[in-house]
Amino acid sequence: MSVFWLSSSALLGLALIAVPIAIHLLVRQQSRRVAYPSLRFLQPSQLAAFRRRNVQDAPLLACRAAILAAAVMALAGPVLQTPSRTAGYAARVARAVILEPGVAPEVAADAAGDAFAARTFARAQVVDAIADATRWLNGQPPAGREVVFAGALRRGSLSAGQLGAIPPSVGIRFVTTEGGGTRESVLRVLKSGANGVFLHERQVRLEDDETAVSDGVATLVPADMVRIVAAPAEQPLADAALRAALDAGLRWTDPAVRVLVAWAGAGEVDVQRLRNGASLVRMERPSPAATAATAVSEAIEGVTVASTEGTEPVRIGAEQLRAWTRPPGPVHGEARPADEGDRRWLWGVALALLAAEHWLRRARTGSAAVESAAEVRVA
Amino acid sequence: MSRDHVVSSTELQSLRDLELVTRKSVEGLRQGLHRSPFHGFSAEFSQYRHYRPGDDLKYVDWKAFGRTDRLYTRQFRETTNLAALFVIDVSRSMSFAGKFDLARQVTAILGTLVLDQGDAAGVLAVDDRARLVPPRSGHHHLRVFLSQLAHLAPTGGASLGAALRQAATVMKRRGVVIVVSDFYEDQEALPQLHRLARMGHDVVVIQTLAHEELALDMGGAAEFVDMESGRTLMVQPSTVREGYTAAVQQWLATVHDTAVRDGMEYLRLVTGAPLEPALRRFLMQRRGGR
Repeated sequence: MSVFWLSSSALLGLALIAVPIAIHLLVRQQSRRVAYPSLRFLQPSQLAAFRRRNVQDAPLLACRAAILAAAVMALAGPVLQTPSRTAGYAARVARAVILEPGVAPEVAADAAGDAFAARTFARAQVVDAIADATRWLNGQPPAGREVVFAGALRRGSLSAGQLGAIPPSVGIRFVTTEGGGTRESVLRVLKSGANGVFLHERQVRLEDDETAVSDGVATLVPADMVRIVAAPAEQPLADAALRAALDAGLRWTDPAVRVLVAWAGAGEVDVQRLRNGASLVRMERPSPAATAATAVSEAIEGVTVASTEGTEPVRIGAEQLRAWTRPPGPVHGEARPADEGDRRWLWGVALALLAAEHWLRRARTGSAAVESAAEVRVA
Repeated sequence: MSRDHVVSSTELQSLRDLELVTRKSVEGLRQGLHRSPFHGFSAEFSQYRHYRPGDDLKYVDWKAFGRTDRLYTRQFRETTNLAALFVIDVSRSMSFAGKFDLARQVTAILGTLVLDQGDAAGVLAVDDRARLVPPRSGHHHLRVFLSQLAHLAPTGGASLGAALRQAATVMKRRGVVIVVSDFYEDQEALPQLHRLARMGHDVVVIQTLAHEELALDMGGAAEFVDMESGRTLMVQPSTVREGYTAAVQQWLATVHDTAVRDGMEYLRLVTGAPLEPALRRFLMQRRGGR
């Protein structure tokens, strides 16, 4: 077992102990002594300067010197280094806990575990949190280092690229929290886009909130996806209305579905000829003609709007998380308990001595008061 | 040993016209100035008593016989000589600021007066051992008395109580006990004084004090050392003076009241104050109260 000091220069402060003793001795040499017939009517003067040179205050002086010594030694930071303690310090880990927004702070404490140093980083952007955590870990004394991601860990919230910013010697661990569901329902809606392009609209509806997320893919609409038939006199108006509806965009069930729109007044023969397996939508002739495109759009949508609903996993998969997880790297440098030391015990000793000093002073004052009271009674 | 060693001849001469008389009856062996508890046939009329056969006829009051048709014999108070024992406090506290010199001086003056008037005077001091000069009269005894006074020094411990206890054994007949002390040992001394007074002695309490200890008349903080016990105390006189003087005055009043209540004479002498007027006043008061 050995002892080393974290701030050995602070030990020079031990010289402070000599100050009250020196003052005591120096002042005592100069103190005036007066032989007096009786002290029974004299009260001691409560002056600190006098107390210092009072010989009967030796225990108090010793107590105060011990307080100074304990305080100075605490500032110097003594460390009792035993093999087991050294091993323990070598195994310690500094943890930076990155919390997803909205995660309860208690989660951070659980994630920090028995880390000798831990700090929580909660930023809106995980990239910023990773940068802060890395910077903080670099400032820690030699020890294992680890970044812990705590939160729901939804898909898309982390990427391998983001994790690449963490140095390889720093371990990575994930703590998933409850809430937010494990899967989400997905509604896919097809919509014909302008210029014959289908928009594949994806609506995500989480189990416990109303948030909708859209994404989509583009698909070319086949030329004969939708046709319209009307009385010959109205056929140009019908064609124009269909084009206008397509240009505005339509929800579409499936790229494979074809629709035939038949206006009232269209020849039944033509309808049957053009149907050819397509879904038939009959509708009244729009009137006035200006509303023809809207009427066509509504008529088609009543048939084609459809959705496919399913569920998809919400969180990053466990396999993925395992792949990203890695233990803290080896500790570089000597793992000395340079950050703590045993000063806390010495501060405790100093506090205990302060209490003892207070008690001694009270005892002195009390006995002096009792003597005075006795003398008054005698008088 | 010349008396000038302990008392100046001028002070003594100035008081030569006075005498130390007792205010109580004392028991002496010879005829003297002082009242005796025994009735005799001297100069001072005391009382009548019925005539008894054998009484000297010259003491029969014939005028009373003429008025009452009864025989009365006149009795006179017998005067006797005085035995005075001076008990001097020789504890170390008396060495402060000339207190002991004052005590020795007043003892020498009063002792000289007692001896000069033909009475007996003795001195008793107890330190590590008793130092006693038994009360005797005669001018040859004055030398012994003053020599003993000159050899006393305030180097003993607190022993006034022991000295007073011994005084009770020394004074077998009623006499005058004059105690000269600063009376810091009042707890032990006052009960002994009370006992002496109850024994019939004429007890005179002379409290000698220094002006400095009455007013704490000294400047600057210092470490005060108790001359009796050696105990030390850090004191700033300016801050404690008020409380100190009040406590001292209360203590002095207690000593005075206790002494007077028990029928003792009390005289306070302070160093630096003229001694002769104080003693003259004291002696005149005693003579007036006779």
